[in-house]
Formats: sequence, structure tokens, C-alpha cells
Amino acid sequence: MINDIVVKVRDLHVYFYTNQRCNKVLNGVSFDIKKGKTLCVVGESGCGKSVTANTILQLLPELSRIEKGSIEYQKDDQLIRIDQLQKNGKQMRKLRGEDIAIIFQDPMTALNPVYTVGHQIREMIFEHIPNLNKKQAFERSVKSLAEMGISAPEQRDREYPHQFSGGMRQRAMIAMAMSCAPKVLIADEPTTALDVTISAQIFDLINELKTQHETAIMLITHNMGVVAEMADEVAVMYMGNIVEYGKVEDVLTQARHPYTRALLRSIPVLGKGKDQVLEPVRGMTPDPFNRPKGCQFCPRCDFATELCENKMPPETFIDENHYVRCFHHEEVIKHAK
Amino acid sequence: MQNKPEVLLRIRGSKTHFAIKKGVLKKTQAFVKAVDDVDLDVYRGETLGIVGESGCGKTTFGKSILQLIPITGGSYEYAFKDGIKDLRTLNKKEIDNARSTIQIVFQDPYSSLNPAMSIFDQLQDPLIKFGVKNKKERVDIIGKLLEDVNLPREYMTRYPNEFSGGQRQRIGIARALSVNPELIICDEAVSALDVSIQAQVLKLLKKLKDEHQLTYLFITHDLSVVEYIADRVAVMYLGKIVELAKTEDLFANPLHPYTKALLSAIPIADLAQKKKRIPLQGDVPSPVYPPSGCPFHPRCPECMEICKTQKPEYRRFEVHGSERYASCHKIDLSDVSNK
Repeated sequence: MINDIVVKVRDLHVYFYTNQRCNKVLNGVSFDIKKGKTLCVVGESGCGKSVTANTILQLLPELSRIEKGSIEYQKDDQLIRIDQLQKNGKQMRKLRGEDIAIIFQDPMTALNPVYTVGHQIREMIFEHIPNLNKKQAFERSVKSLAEMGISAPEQRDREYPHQFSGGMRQRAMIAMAMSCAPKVLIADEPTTALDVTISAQIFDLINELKTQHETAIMLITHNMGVVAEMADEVAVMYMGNIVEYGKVEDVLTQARHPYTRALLRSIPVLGKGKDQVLEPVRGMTPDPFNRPKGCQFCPRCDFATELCENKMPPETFIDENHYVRCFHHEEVIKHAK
Repeated sequence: MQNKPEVLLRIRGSKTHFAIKKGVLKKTQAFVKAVDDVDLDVYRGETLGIVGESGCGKTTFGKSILQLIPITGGSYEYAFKDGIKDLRTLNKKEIDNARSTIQIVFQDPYSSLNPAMSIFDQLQDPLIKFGVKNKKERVDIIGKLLEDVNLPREYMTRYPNEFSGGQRQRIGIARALSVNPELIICDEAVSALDVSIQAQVLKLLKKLKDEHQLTYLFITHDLSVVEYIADRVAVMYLGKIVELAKTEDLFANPLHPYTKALLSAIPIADLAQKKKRIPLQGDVPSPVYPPSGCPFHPRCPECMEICKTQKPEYRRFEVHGSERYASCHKIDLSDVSNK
């Protein structure tokens, strides 16, 4: 079982610095990405989901750094500490794309408009697989496009991004990410910019990668529906912490953190009709520069006590795979019943 | 809604085509048929949801009701207090007045508020225009409006950058309400908001509807939102309405294959509800060169020969006493009416 863990993140702290202020974006995040499994990271905007993804690839902005914690990548038999590599060093550049690939949210801006799609895929192939001649590289890029279900791939290979539709651009992005057969695929809200019927196609594609290539997938989303369909494991994030982490069945049906519960109650669920009661999470997400002292969710929480105001709850394990950051999780689950 | 509901807005044959101009002489090459032959009745006091994928013409349709864009054809008969008039025949002044009964809430709460004006200044403009001359009165009205949308009265002196997305959207709603409209067009009013905030705004919209006897035309791409808020739902595809029915009927027994596929594509946050997905091939075709026959036929899993050549009619059905509309050659009512 241990060998299934491809990326192991422990107690990760990332701070951003601006104008002599410090934004503690990530405050001790721990999770595993496992081979052939999908980890979904959910949370509202600004909770640090994308930063988590970018940190794994060391794609952080200039004035930021990993303060504490570790990111370990299991490359065959070798263990690589990603957090200790140089941001633009040779080793890091080799890891990006070849071992860990990322798909960004917006396919319109992530592709370069002045190069053909095929050229951009081959850029990646030449970088990571030396000794390929042009013909072999072309065949490889066409093959990866065809695998993503793009019709007439030879012709599409020579076309520019503007000639592609939104869904096809996202497929091209995935084709690019998968062209070097990475072990880990990080998808940062891959379908937010797409329509439901198209995003269903993309999700089928990602699931196929998971089962056929045993790719480890980290899927970032804000949609609980996507979590229910795609995830094997879920991490719920709030203000730079994973507040609840566990198997998808456990988190969705036995949620122990008040925030997870509140989030699930606030979304309209298809099939429940007009009489369903929506309970918005009260209050607002706090200012990241002026955070609550203890538990970040404390000002909006119904179960909050004095203890929560002063101390951040530690990771409390319910069972081997399920942890929650809440002092009162017993009460929360009792209350729900 | 047992007795015959009153029609507030009757739209017949609505068409909005945009010309594509090319070359030195700007000759018209082709038309984007953004909205093509849409018939729709909006009843007083209902919430009518319009759903569809991006580019299907739902926003254009919403804007065309307010006459915010040049319309190619059709009639928009609105039941004003002093009789039924066609919105397209009104002159400029009359249109201005009509806009005090029809209002719109836009999608993006960041670009629809002027960053250089305080909330009071933005909200007082429509009041001045529609005859509230006394400043003290305006302060009173705006304070009341802000309280209606659950914001403190004191916020009226603030500027948009001091507000979060959800608050801004509520200010947008307050602005629409300021002139006491009857019909509010919500163009993707909650799409840009986070889920927890979205719930606040949805609840607010429901509350305001009862308090102010409003009618909503709710344009969105999110079917679970529509199911929560709408009484009836119209599904648009490539500038046409392909199905219209009461919300419960549409979600329980969709008639049109596109509606079926759309419903099956939505991820549901409930592990108990695993369903079979109907995969759709390819993308939405270009509205410049729509496919021959039924616009949905290239992606339709139930496509027949006739669909490729002949446009299906927009037909009326009656199932268990409630009326519904759909345009498809292959509609089997037997499995619906048996239920």
C-alpha cells in the first residue's frame, strides 16, 4: 500500500509577501496523491487550492516561499524532495511535464496563440525525450491528440489554438500534459470554463487515464457534484488548511467538519426540487491579512467555543484515512443525526 | 396557477441576427443567428428559467427583451398597466419608461458597477430619472433597498471596491429593484459567485419575489439552480427553444434528447444517485452555419433520417393536464403519460 503513494505532502506552509505584509496562504497542509486514484481538492475561491497545486510544481510567484514542510515525490525507487530543489534548476525542469504535469483552468490563455497546437505539444516532447527526429515527434504528437478523441488529428496538429473550440483546446492541453506519460496529473479546475456536456466528456477522458495508465490524479474543483462523480479521496480546504480529508464516501456522507456540512447544505442538488432548503454559510470568508487567531472557520461556525477562538485544532484522525481539524467533531456528527 | 395565468409578456417569432461583415466595403457575408424564431409566454408572477450552453443565445434573448440590442424580427407584446403594447414599436421615451417595469441583473458583479461612483450615486440615478426629486427621499428609499437585500443602510456611502462579489451582486439586485419593476431579467446572476454565497443570493431572490410580486426571467447554464428557483424551464439550443415545461415535469420526464443528455451530464453531489450518462459527441455547431434539419441532429444519439433534412416543429403537448412544448420528430409520449 505504501508504494502506491506517488506524492506525499506533509505540513506544508507557504507564505506570500506583499507590501511588508505577509499572507499565510497555506498553513500546514498534508495529503497523499496515490497511483491510479483521484484526489479531489474542494473549497471556495481564495482558500489556497490552486496554490497547493502550483507548489507541487514549484510554480509559485516571485515573492513567496515554502516556509516549512515537505513535498516528496516517489520516482521509481528514488525519493525526491521537491521542496528542496531549485525552482528553475535542471532537476525541477525535468520533473515538470515528464513526471508531474498540470492542466490549467483556462485553455484559452494557457495555449500560445502564435504557434500551432502540434508545435506546442512537440516542444514538450523534444524537451523531455531527446534523440527523437522530427518525424517521430510528429507521430507522437498526432498520437496523443488522437488519444484525446480529436478527430482528424494530422490536420488538427497543424492548426492554431483559435481554430479549436473550447472543449478541444482543453483536450489539446490534456494531450500536451499526457504526451510524456507523466505519473501524476494535476488538473486545476479543468472544466470551469466549459459547458456541462463538454465537461462530462473531459471527465470521462480523465477517468480513462486513471484506469488505463494508472496516472495519479489531483483534481481541483469547487463543485461538490464533480467530487461525488470523480473522487476516490477528498480534501476540503478552507483558508489555507485542509479541514477534512478522507475517502469520498466518508466525507460526503459522514462529514465531521462544520464547514464541510455547511458547504454541502448550501448547494442546490439536482433532483431534490423546489422545496429543498438551502442554508447559506453565514458571514463571509475573513480577510487573509487579518485572520482569526484560532480555528479559521470559528467566526462562522455554530459549534465554536472559546477553545476554537484561541487555538487551531490539530489533525484528528477518525480512522486511518479520515482526518478532521475540529475540536468538536463528535458533537457535529451527533448533531447531524 | 390552476386558473389560466395572466400573460405578462408574449414573444412571437423573436429573431436576433448579427451580420458578419468582411472586406473593404464591409459587405455582409453571413449572419450569426443568435436567436432564431423563439416563441415564449411569460406569465405574471412566475419564475421562468432559460437554460442552455454558452453560445446558445440565452443572453442575447434576455437583452433583446429590454431592447438593448437591435432586433431582427418578431413581436414582444408586454401587458403594461395601460394596455398591451409591442415593445418594438415604442419610441425612445416610451422605451425608457418601459425599462422602469423591466429591469436586468447582470452576470458579472465586478464590471456592472461603476468603480468611481459611491453606491448611493449609482442607485440614485434611476430614481432621479423616474421622478424622485427630493434628495432626502432618495436617501430613504436607497436605505430601505439596501436593507431589503440584507446590507446595512450605512453602506450607501461606500464604493464598489469595498464589497465582496456576493455583496456587489446584491447591490446590483437593489439597483434593479429601485424603480419598482414587475419583470426582472436575471442574466446568470449567480454564476460568478462561490457556492456558499450563491445560496445567499438565491434565497434573497426568492424572498424578494414574494415581497415585491416580481416576475423573473432567470437565465443560467446551471440546471440545479434552475430546479431550485424556477416554476417553468425553457431549454435553448442554437438560438431556438427546444423544450419548455414545468420544472417538475422537465426534470422528471424530459422529452427532447438534448434535455435528456444535459440532465445526465450534470454531476450530482450525492453518492446515492449514480446515473447513466448519455454521452454527447462533439461540440455545439456554429450558429453561422447551423446544420440542416434539426439543429441538434449531428450530436443526437437518437437521430433518424428525417431529422437530417426536416426541421422539427415546436409542438404543444398536454401531459396530465399540464402543457409542455418540445421540438423533436421523435417524441414518445407513451412512457411519459404512463407514469
